[in-house]
Amino acid sequence: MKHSSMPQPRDGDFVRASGHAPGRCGPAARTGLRAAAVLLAIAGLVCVPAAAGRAWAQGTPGDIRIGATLSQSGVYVPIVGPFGKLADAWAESVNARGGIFLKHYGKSLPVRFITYDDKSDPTTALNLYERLASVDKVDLFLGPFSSGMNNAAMQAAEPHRIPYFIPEGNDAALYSSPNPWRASLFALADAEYTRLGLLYGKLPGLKTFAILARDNLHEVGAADGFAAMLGKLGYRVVYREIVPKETKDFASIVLKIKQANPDAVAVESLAPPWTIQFFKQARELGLAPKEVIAAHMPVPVIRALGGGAENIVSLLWSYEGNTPDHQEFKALCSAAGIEPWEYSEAGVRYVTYKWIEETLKRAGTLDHEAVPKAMWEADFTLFGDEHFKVNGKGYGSEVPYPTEIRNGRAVSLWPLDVGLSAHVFKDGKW
Amino acid sequence: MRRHPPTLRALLLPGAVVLGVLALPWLPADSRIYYMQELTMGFLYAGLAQSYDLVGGLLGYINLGHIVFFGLGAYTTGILFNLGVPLIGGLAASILVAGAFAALISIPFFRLRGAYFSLATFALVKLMEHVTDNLRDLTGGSSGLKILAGNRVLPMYYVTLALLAAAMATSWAVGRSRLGLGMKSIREDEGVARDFGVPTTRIKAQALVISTVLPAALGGLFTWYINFINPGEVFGLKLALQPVAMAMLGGSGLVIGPLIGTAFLYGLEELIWTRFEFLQGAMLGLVVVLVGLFMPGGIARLKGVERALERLGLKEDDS
Amino acid sequence: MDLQAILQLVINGVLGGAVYSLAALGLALIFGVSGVLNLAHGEFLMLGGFFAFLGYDRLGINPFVLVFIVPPVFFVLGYAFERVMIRPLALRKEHVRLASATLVTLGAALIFEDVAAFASLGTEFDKSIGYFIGSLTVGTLVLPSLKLIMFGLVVLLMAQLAWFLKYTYVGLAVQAVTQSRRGAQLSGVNVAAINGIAFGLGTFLAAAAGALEVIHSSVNPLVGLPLTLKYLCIIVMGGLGSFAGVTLGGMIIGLSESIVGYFTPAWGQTVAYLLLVGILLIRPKGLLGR
Repeated sequence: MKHSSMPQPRDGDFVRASGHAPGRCGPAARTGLRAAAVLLAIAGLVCVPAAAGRAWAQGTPGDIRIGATLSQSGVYVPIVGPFGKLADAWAESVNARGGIFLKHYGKSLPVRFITYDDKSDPTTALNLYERLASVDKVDLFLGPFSSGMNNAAMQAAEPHRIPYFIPEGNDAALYSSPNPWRASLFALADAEYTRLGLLYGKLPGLKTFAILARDNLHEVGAADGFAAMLGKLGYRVVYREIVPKETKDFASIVLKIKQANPDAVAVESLAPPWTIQFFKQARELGLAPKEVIAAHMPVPVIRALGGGAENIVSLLWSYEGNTPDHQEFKALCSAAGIEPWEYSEAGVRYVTYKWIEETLKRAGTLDHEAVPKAMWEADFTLFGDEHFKVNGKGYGSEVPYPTEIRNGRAVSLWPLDVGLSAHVFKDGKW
Repeated sequence: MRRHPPTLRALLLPGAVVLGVLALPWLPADSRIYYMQELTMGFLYAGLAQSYDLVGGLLGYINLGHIVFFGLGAYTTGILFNLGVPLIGGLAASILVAGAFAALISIPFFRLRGAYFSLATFALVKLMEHVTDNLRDLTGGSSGLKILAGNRVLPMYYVTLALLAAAMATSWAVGRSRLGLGMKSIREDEGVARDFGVPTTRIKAQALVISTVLPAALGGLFTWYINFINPGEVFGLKLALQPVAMAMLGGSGLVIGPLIGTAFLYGLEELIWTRFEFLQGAMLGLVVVLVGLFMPGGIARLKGVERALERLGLKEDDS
Repeated sequence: MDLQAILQLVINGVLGGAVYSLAALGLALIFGVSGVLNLAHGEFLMLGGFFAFLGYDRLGINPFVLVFIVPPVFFVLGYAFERVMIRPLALRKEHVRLASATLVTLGAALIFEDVAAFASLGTEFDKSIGYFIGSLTVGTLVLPSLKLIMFGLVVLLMAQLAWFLKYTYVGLAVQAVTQSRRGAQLSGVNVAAINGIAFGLGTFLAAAAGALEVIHSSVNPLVGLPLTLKYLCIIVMGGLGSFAGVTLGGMIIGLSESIVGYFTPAWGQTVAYLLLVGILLIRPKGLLGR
């Protein structure tokens, strides 16, 4: 490296009056070193796990730490928004009772959630679960919403040997390869309409169905399952269509459905804008079947249709009842500021929290071998008579319950006898 | 402008950073895998931004469809992997498919100028997304494509880093070559260049094909790493716009520009989400606005940054 | 396939196209005059719908009245947006200006989107006005009233725009600036003010489209960017700088989505982009572009 013999003014401030080039320990070197030191210090600050202060609840030694992510931005916000509060409410209620008793330690430990925002993005979720494992050192994982995100995030389970409880993730892809570190209590998507099928199995008055599904991982599987189920019940599916996600104009679809003249129209779509578009246009164009089924009818869709939502049959992951579990569930929802029917997946969360508690009690320890084993061996009852288990592939058999929209809210059509007497056909009235 | 060779002193900090990055997987820190994963995605974005800038910055055609090659690579490798083809073969095929596609579309697409070109290439992204959704039997459609999982964090880290370095080397080499000269002349005034006998059609096609190698490889690697892709993700809006924004933010047309833009934006994102629970997107948006308003030409063309680059010997002829 | 069905499809397509055209016109205006691809355009549409929803849901105002009240507010917002964000870029070199404007409008879009999302936490993320008007039936043909109204509005707006551009000073100035910025400046036109007005008008149209959108379907904080890009594609297909081109482009997309959507719904969305790319490859300046 050549230094020129004539001093070159470099930025004006490093040349001494004598005209010599700056020496090794001259002011230039000191400034450079100082800058480097400052930058390294900042880098160190960022790296130190004090940056884990982004978590919503700090874990302290002697807790049971549950690591989770929730979508606080992106497409899944409307579905899981209040679940952070729901989780905290449950943790509070458990801790108020003294925590969860773990016989291996001879005492009860309190529960803490450490939750991050996964931005509805699978790669972000994966990174965050990695962080939860290595930086926050959680004992268990509670998965995020949706199969896509769970598929990515659960990759963090095996390397760290942390059991991963899947809440909403019931697509076959998640369970296609064996993995002892993850499990779910819920049936696969194609079984989602099982309880509704029980209702229609006993309900007279319908002969033909049309099924419309939004082109997306979950909806396609669920709609296929429903079609198969209807076939077995002796119904005829006279129209089936999978329609792209970005469709805004359903007029052609409505026309084709009208031509097929079904008694019942079933719509399987997780995206409110899509569902709203379809129903508004169906209404405008005079599609008025005897029965309308929309598997997912969140609040915005109900409100968008106003009085037109009346008597639409839907599915919800919880139902109304009076057992102690029902009451606990309602109380947790109130604490989170929501009503159970407003967020269908609240039911999934509640059951999953109970499963976690039951697993830990049975394992009696936080040991990384015992807990997954206990997770798979789940066997408990909620809501009086509902039995929850995990099968050999790692998922369960829990499916949602039928509901019907009355006066702008969802009303349970379960248990079956209640549903059969409460059910009313839409009779083409918008 | 004469380039000053960097002094040892000036190389101290960047040298430490590079060493740190290379050594990260071996450091005895619990959180190293987390940072490796974060950096891997950073290298990926930087690589996309760098390869985009070959056409976007050097040639002057804002190619909003750059991500098409990423998606093509992702699906090609994924489909072949499921048929038993090893990763290397899959990546090679990805690069060939993307390159062939680029060669095919370059003649008709490069007849378009300015916003027409940009939006036509963007339309290609949406088109590919929808076609991939519909070719259910080949690609799995909207349900996505899944490959056999595996713990690939360590190799992915080094490979994406190496690809980023390769992308930057490519940009540098092309910039100094005859091809680069032709590209810059097209950027400045295509009509005049053509009148002077510059083979514009051939140069544009070459530039596009070269720019597709990296995204195709990165796409294939992405599938291998994440095990599960779907059309909405690999042909998505975020992946399409982010490299463009990062390149413009950092300084489109400079070799170091996209890297600076990516490092800046990515680092900022990391900083923001650890400090704020809400409105993180809005803050990022604000930063983008401020850069747009007050830093014409991007961060790398700021006076202070230019001087720092000069001291590192990285300042280049910005014509 | 009977005649009735074909007719219904065509009607559906034209009405659907009108919906696209209305929203895209504002963007075309902004681009034609100031040369800026306003990536925040869709956000103004979304915000227009947002406030129309609030007006209906909280204050009980009739939705169609809101379609007239909300847009003028956005004219002011659009003008202010141009003044604060775009005008400082005016003196930069062409391709630097383009890159800067892209960054500025993109950043603004991200801000609007995130703030709107933050303000929509809870069950009001997707906003839709539950106001239903019956449809007109002519024989077995059904004409949804709302879409008819939107179609009427597009026709009205096109006529007004044409009149405005030909018979008012400001309109002529807008045309002049669209044709040649330098020439207009030399003729004494205050280009800066015209840019502002164009932005204001464009945003006015976006908000109107948004207010209608929230009645006939729904809006949520995330619709902005994807819509903006789709409209940009339509404008480019119709030809930048041609308002008739935008309307034509919108109609073509609407018709193709409707007809293809009938025969193979899966390809209904794809065909729009296929046409976009195809038309541009045949006519590099768009259908009616200059």
